[in-house]
Amino acid sequence: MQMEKGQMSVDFMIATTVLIFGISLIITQIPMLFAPLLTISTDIHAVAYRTSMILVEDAGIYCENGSITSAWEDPEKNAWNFSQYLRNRRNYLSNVRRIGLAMNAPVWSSHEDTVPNNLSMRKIQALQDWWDDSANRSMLWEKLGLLVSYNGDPVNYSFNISLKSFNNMLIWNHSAGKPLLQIGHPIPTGATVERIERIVAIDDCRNLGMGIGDNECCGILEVCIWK
Amino acid sequence: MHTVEALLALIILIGAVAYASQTAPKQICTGEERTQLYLYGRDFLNILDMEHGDHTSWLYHQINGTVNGSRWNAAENIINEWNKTSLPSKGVFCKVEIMNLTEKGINVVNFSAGEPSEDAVTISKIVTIVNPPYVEIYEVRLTLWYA
Repeated sequence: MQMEKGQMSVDFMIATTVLIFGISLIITQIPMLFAPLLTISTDIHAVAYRTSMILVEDAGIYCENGSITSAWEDPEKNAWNFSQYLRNRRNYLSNVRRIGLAMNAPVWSSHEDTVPNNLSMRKIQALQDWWDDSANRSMLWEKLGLLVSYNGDPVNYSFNISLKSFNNMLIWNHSAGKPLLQIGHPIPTGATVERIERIVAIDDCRNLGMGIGDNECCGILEVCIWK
Repeated sequence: MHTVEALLALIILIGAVAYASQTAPKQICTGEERTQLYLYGRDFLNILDMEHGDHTSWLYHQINGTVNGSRWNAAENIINEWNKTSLPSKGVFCKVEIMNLTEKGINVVNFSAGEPSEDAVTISKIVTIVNPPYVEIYEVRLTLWYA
């Protein structure tokens, strides 16, 4: 049967064209149009960023009887390790208010309290020892700022934090026979995981990672966060 | 006549789709990726400018050696340090510019591993060279981008 009319009218085509123009204009002009639908992803990225900042650019806070110091790994400066503080100071864990890994500034330094990007080996070891202590491991979420409250409801972020060399291998603590820093749970597949990488130097170390500038040991602190 | 209408419709449709595809936001680099580039750059410059006991740094000596007659090339040396991070193998490349901000005017020494893309991120660090009685201020600009 022979068709006597067009299958689509010009009016319809003009309307369709106007519609396409309109939609493209909206998408172009409002780049954050779909942001409200992505709250989980954007929230996780902000948390990963904050956690990396706390670890790399802050030395932490230890508070006892109103006295505050950033040397949370050795607040009494008696060279005890994590286990010794845990054994000899009953309130040690609760006195640690925040965990940071940046080393405390030397007396001659222009920095006021901490040296950003220069991680303290003793703080790294204390954090790893804390994670290895399964009885007190759960307190780490609060100390790292990963246990927060939204509208009265607790929100717990999962994490995986590790120190890697530039070839993406874990930096190894040969004397302890384990990774220098690897805390948190295995990264899940299929979940939204936000990853932040920070280039860091490690203070007081030998033969760990690659040197940059005149820093002997440098590597990547990888912070992965998910819900 | 119907064929002419169909052709007209086709042209209008193709035009609209072409316009839409051209005006859609070309987001090569996401916000998260730009944040990561910024952090790479800031961390890297912080490490190069890590303070010594005499208040100088590796970066200070590189700039001083380059601008005071020695045959150093601070920009090239900074890129060599960047290559040690293995980030170029992840597709992160950099360009280094060193600018004299004092009375001698802006004098750019630059070295680049290619041309930065449109969504490159630039981070800078101020280095003050003290050679009494002269004090010179230099800006080290590090531009990073994903290849």
